[in-house]
Amino acid sequence: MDRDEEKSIIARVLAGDTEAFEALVLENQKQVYNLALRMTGSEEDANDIAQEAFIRAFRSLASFRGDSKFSVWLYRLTSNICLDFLRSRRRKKTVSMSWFAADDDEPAELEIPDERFSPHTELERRELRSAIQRALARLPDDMREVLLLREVGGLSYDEIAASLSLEEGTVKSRIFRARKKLCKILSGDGNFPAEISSDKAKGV
Amino acid sequence: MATCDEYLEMLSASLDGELDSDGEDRLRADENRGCAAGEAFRSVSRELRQLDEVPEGFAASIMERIAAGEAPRAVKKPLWKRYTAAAACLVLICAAAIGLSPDKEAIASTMGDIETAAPSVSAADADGDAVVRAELFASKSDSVTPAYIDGVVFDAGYAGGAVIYSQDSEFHPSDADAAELLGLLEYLDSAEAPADGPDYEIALAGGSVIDLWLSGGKAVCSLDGTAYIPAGSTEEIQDIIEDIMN
Repeated sequence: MDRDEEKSIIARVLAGDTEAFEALVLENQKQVYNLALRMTGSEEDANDIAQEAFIRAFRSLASFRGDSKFSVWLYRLTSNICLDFLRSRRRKKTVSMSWFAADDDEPAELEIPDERFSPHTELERRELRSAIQRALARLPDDMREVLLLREVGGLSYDEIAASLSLEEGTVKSRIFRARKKLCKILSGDGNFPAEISSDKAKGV
Repeated sequence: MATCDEYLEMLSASLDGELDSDGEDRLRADENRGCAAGEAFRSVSRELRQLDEVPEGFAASIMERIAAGEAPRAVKKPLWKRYTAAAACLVLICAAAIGLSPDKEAIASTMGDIETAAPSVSAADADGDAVVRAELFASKSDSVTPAYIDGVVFDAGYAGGAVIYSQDSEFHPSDADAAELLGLLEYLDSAEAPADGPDYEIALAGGSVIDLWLSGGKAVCSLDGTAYIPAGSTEEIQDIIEDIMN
């Protein structure tokens, strides 16, 4: 759906054709739902939040200025609801304790051998997905938000920057750091896979 | 040749279609360097871009709510269906509240070599197997800062605390954490309890988080936005746990 189509639908909705809003729902529902799912880690919460995002978007449609794509505005709205939701679940912490598996002395941090990064079987895919979701939960909210707007929402750096009032360079670097941190968590040992060769060895 | 970090930065931008053509050339030139993290980057990105289908009736539900003129509302607090976490939460505060509402004489008389300071509280599944169990324990340590709980001398030097068992997992706070937890619990039912105290977070493997803090002298345990304050008998609380689990 291009911007002209969006504008046309929005105009119809604002003129009283409520049913026309469904086209916007169908166009964006997958991204909105998956944004919420990845932010919260819960299907039930994601369903509630995603529905709420569309309801709020409908109610505040008149305030949508059209200077970005509707989807950008909507995904940002979704992300905000997720962040509010996550914050309301937390309290200020001074001590953090972790749940340990009975046999382990270390926290149950997943270690993925390198070959798992190329899952071949359905089981491996599910395991990777599960591991990534757990790792996502450990990213700071703002880092997770930017990464998911990119990966799930499909927004460009420029769109994310405009929507979050950030510099484009900040968006780029935040996404890079989010990926790096995710991979670090997934590797389990806190060390990034070492360079295969140093600059010096390559004579750079 | 770029460093690994520089390579990964270029790869990150390339995955997002945000690398210029010079950058793409440099990236291609570096592709065979075998930087293992590069494959991890690609794989994570690939996985995140796989979108689940929306629940059945999703759009229809939204349109119904719009048609009904429903006003926007705050997202409702999630129901806790993860009974193990919920049960652990209740059991923890139950143990904290009941366990340290002491059989004063029993505790006082055995202060020398206490192994367990309080009865355990447990919840069982339909087969009668203990699913979640909490025990408070105290074992002697070298620190001897006495504390008073409800008029009973409870030596905070005891490195004790709570142990929660759930299926095949156990939660053991570290000595330092246990001492802090005891410090928190020493204010139970005390008129001098601070209005606010330190807060504790217990992170469970499935992503649930139990919050534990003081409010008005009571330990409050919260899971997913629902707070539990010890009240009622052990039996009443266990009934609640069983309802949750069934």
